Amino acid sequence: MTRTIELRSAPALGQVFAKAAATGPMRKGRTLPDLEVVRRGVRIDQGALAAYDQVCGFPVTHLVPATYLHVLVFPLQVTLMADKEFPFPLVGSVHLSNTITQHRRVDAHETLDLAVRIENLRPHHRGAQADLIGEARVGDELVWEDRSTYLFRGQKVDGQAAPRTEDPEPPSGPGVVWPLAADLGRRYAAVSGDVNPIHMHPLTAKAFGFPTTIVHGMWTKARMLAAVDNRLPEAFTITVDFKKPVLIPSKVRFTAAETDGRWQLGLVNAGKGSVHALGSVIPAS
Amino acid sequence: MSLRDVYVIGGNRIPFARSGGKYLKASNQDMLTAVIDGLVARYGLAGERLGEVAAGAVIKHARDFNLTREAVLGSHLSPETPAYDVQQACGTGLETAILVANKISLGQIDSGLAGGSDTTSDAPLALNDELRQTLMQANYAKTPQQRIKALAKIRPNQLVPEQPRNAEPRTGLSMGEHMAITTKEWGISREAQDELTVNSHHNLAAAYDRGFFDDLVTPYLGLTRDQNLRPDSSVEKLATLKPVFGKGEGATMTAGNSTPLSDGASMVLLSSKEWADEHKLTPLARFVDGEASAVDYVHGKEGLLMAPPYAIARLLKRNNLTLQDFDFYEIHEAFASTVLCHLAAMEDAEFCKTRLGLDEPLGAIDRSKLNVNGSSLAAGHPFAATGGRIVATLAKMLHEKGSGRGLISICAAGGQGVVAILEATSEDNK
Repeated sequence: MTRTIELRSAPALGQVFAKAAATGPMRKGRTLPDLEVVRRGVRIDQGALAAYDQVCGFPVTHLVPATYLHVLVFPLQVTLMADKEFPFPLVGSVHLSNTITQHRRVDAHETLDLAVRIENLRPHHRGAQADLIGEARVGDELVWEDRSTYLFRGQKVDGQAAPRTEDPEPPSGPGVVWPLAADLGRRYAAVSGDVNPIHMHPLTAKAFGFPTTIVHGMWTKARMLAAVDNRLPEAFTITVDFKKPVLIPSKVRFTAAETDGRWQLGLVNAGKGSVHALGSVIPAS
Repeated sequence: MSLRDVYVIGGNRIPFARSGGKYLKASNQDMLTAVIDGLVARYGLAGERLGEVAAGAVIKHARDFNLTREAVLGSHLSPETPAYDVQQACGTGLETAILVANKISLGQIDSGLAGGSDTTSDAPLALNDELRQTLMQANYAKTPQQRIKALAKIRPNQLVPEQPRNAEPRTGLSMGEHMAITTKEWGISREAQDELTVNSHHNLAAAYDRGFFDDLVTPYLGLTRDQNLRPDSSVEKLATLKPVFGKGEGATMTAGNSTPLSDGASMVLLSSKEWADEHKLTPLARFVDGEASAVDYVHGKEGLLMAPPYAIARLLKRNNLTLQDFDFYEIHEAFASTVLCHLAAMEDAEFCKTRLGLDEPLGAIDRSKLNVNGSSLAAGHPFAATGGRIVATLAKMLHEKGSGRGLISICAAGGQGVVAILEATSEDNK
């Protein structure tokens, strides 16, 4: 039977991270817990939303960007992965891909019920991967869904990893160059609550095996969405695969191409051209 | 080339916030984008290419040189909609409506948005002028020695930024100080000003209560009504305030009967009849005509905010109307005394003869037709946003009444005035 953890308020993520980090080495198992984390009656703080809009490049309005709802379910995801029954260490996990379906635009005045579960554990050539499923409802209406695929490096599960496939090329064209400041990770942490040390400072990032600070994947996705959001219909699905961490400070190039309402998105290093992220937007049929 | 009728299809604004209030984090571009998207949603214009969008802001960052176009590019309108910025101080919003209406009338475009935005909470701070000149010199220096020499001129007192001031560049006086002089000249009493202020608050509150603004205002950042609105305002309460403009005995202008600095944006949708029919939209009113005027306030020949009566006189003459031929008067309340000075001047035979060149005074108006749904004293006055607020409000009033005509009058910095006439549509008039 599904066990449910109901949060009454947004948890202090620093503490949850600390608990997850401390218990990481003791974790074992090869199955996912049948666990759901929910938070009901969530009201959106307009000041916090405005600050998020500014860091990610959305206009400050009463409409809630699809990626902001991910910020609201993120603490539920972390709570789930920090639970004692969760088999893998949270610290060191890698966000591989994120798919969001917005069924309709959410207004900042609406009250939301949020839920997160995890499913689809499968092998990955570098470990194990699973999907965290997030949902937002207004009353009974499902308005938003999120699928965050995480890699748990070095973990073993039964089965064969799917063969690696060739990535498509990012859309061509000059695109737009975004200079990313060294403090972008801290600024996004301040508006998202995701204070993972790999995003905060070169030294803490090095401690976790990165050459320097890396930007949050969900900032990358939010910034890419913000660049095309006003061209999208009310209902759409946006997927972004995170290919290579974006080290900061740096310059990245964003390219986009639209055909019949479908968008291809790309984010590459402005100098070397190495691919950081590939995305697509598909309007609801 | 024949002229076409132009219609106000609708309007949208966000509630106006007090300076440093709820919109502290919002830029002009944010607010304009929000207002455009509100109109897009209300009239089903997503992806639509409009003839043009004209808007502006009085206080603007250097980076906002293409403010309106940037707002369009961030909105749900087609990115192929052209846009331009206009700045005529507090007349900006109404002037953009005249510009867009003229192009529609000429058949150059079929539809357009007109409006404006202003924020005193996200105002630009400029470098101290001496520091700016020093840095420019250093920038143009050819040798490191020249550069060091230039930079050595920086003094600590130059690090204080220059703040935008609400003052006339040519006189150094603030708008309130100018108005205080005119108020004294026309002998406008404190009681009359406070009474007009209370009416503004009560009328605006009543209009919100009966849902008048439901399809004219979109909530924004937690505000659903104008932040400055005080439904319980009373003459007794206002009487307790100390004058802030003018000096000594004759000082009558307080923070209550003057508009506060505020933040907000507004837009109106204008179009030809054909465009409205194609889009199955019902026009609210016909945009008849507009006129601007300016006075020589610099050397004291006329009061800074006294230009509107000059524009009204010319506009009435061109349209063969008298001042009494209107069902609604929307006179922007920069200060309560501005409205009262205009009314007094238009009743004054001497003023109308010597200043406006009229044989007969324009005369008195029925005060029960003045700002019947409140105006700037209650709503607040984000400079460039006021024109769009008034055009949309008056258009809806005419549509509700089903007949008649309304006059808009807005005073502006630099001794200017912008006025316009709206009429109920011929279908409504039947």
